[in-house]
Amino acid sequence: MSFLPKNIRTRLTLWYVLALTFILLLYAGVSITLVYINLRNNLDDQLQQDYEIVENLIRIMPNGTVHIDSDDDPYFHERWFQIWSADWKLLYESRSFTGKILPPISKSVETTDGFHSYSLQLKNNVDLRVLSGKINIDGKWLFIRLVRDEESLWNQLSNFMRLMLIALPVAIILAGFGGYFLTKKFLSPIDEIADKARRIGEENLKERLPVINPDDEFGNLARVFNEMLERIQKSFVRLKRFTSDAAHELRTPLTAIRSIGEVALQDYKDAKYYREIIGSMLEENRQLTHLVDNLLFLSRTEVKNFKTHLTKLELKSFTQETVEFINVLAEEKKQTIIVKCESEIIVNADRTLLQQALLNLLDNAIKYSPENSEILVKVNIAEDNSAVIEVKDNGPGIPGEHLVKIFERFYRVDKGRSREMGGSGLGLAIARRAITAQGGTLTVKSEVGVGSSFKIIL
Amino acid sequence: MKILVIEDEHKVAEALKEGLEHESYAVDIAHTGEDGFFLLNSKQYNLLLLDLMLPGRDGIEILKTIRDKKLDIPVLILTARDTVEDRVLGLDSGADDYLVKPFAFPELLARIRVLLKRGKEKQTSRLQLADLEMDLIKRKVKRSGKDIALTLREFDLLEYLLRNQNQIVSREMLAADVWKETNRATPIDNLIDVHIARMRRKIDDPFETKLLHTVRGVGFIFSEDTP
Ligand SMILES: Nc1ncnc2c1ncn2[C@@H]1O[C@H](COP(=O)(O)OP(=O)(O)OP(=O)(O)O)[C@@H](O)[C@H]1O
Ligand SMILES: [Mg+2]
Repeated sequence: MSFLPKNIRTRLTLWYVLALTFILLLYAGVSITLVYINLRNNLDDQLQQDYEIVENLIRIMPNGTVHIDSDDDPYFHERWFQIWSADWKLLYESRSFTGKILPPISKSVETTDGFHSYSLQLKNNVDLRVLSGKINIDGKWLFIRLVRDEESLWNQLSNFMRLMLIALPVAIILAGFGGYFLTKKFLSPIDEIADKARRIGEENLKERLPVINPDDEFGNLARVFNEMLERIQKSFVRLKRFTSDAAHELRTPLTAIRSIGEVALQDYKDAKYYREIIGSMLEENRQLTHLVDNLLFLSRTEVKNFKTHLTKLELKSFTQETVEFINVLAEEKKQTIIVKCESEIIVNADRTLLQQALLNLLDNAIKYSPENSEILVKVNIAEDNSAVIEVKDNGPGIPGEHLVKIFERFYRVDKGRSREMGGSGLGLAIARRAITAQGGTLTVKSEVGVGSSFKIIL
Repeated sequence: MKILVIEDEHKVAEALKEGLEHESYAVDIAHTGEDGFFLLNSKQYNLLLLDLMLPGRDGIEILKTIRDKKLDIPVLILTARDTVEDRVLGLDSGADDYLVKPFAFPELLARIRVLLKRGKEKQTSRLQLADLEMDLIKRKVKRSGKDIALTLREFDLLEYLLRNQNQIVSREMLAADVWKETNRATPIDNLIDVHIARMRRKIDDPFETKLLHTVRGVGFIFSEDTP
């Protein structure tokens, strides 16, 4: 609808002025009709009274002519009527010219019992109201026709219409202006919100939109937008921290490569030495490659339309295979991994992703618990019918303040110690992504000095 | 054996050329798709190493033209893009194999060997290196006549090492071919190292000549000679 004005304020006003006009026109039409009917009824009543008077004035002479006792009627000269015989002859008329301008009395009068009223317009545009009736005087049937000018009726009606014609536009214009200012007043929070929103950018994400009346729709809108801003700000902060964390992580192997190379070039040494140096640089390169591979995995699973390949998977054998896979690492530390699973459990899951998550949990359990300890992997069906794989260790546990953060990328409880063991702090982030990507959850419970328990819930 | 390398990154191209020449392949390098295409049409090659992200003509385009012209040359794609979709696109366009950058050079060599002698895989029942013997049917391993007991995984590992003897195998190759683990975000390096250490204990420690050597930063080599 391109012909509509663009801004809501004008549009709203326009719409309701239109609606108001429609309603007022309807109102005017109805009231004019009512007034007209009312005036006409009045006229008909007057004619009726006239009729009754005239009826009593009629005398029939012995010779058959009609005589009117005009002396008994003070208004006689103002009356306008005709008397017709049953055989349609004009017997009498109060003004002699009338017969020439009025059409002959209608035959339908004969058939109508009681009275017959109608309006008629003469050639010279004079409107008349007519009442005809049938009476019986001394056994003789006569027709009486009474006429009154409708001029005063139309005068009154046109006065009324004129009044409407002036009052309506005034009312509409007033309402329009009023409406315009009211909408302006009510919509003003939008302008304020828009104004503020326009000025919020990357640098001042902390700022919020004004909430003028928290209970109305605009207040609600502003609040919802503010909540959105809050989320955006948080993810922005996360993103920034992630970038700097990632850069720092990359820096470590880069520094190593650089120093190893520079130091090696200080002197002339034999081939064996250089082989060692290059090997050592390649090891750092490996670190870097791992880091990049892990980051790529995370960013790939974070896109909304990341595809998982869900298949029917039997958890008991899957868990046993996965434990078997990594068991040598536990054996090296003389740890035992015990798998507990009562019965076979079939789930719909992405095998690769699930294995990746479980391997990361097992890797942590092995890595962070002491030698000779026991790691329990329990597979069962929870009360709410979800499948649960729990990895429970008797390691050092994780202090409460770190517990929520360990799933964040690069987060390590003890940076130095973890890096020594080759950890980049991405393991749990990857595990959680691998599980949530297929609609599951990964939770943790831990008590310092007792151990940790990670639960994959599918 | 002549190999054409189409790779726009000069350093990588040079390293590939040198490494491949060291393995006695004849290598030509093209830095753009157009040059590569010209060389392909004017000379005979046994293998094409193709980088997917090239200036001018994109690698996939070249691949499609080659296949449209019914040139029957094996193509190994090298690329930094490694989503499943990329892989499928590459293989659908007519590539024979796919290697994700950064790749381990020994792995590249292994893939090239497979492509060049495709279909000629030796069917043997016995593998041997020095005094180490493996009977693939009875699944028995002996060194100097003494039986060596191996777990299933260790047997697979040793078989792989024997089949690729005298060549460097990287951890990636072991992960993919012995552990069947292709997801690069699953780190199983530790695992491999532990298995290698155990393998050494069984097949090397009691004997004079060591066979399983570590090539630092690259991988392992199964050979009588120390690298
Ligand atoms: N089972 C556990 N017991 C004690 N602490 C744990 C356990 N699992 C994880 N943590 C703590 O959580 C931190 C994050 O673990 P995560 O697996 O993400 O990283 P990482 O193991 O340090 O490195 P990566 O897994 O990338 O090699 C670890 O550094 C460790 O401090
Ligand atoms: Mg970890």
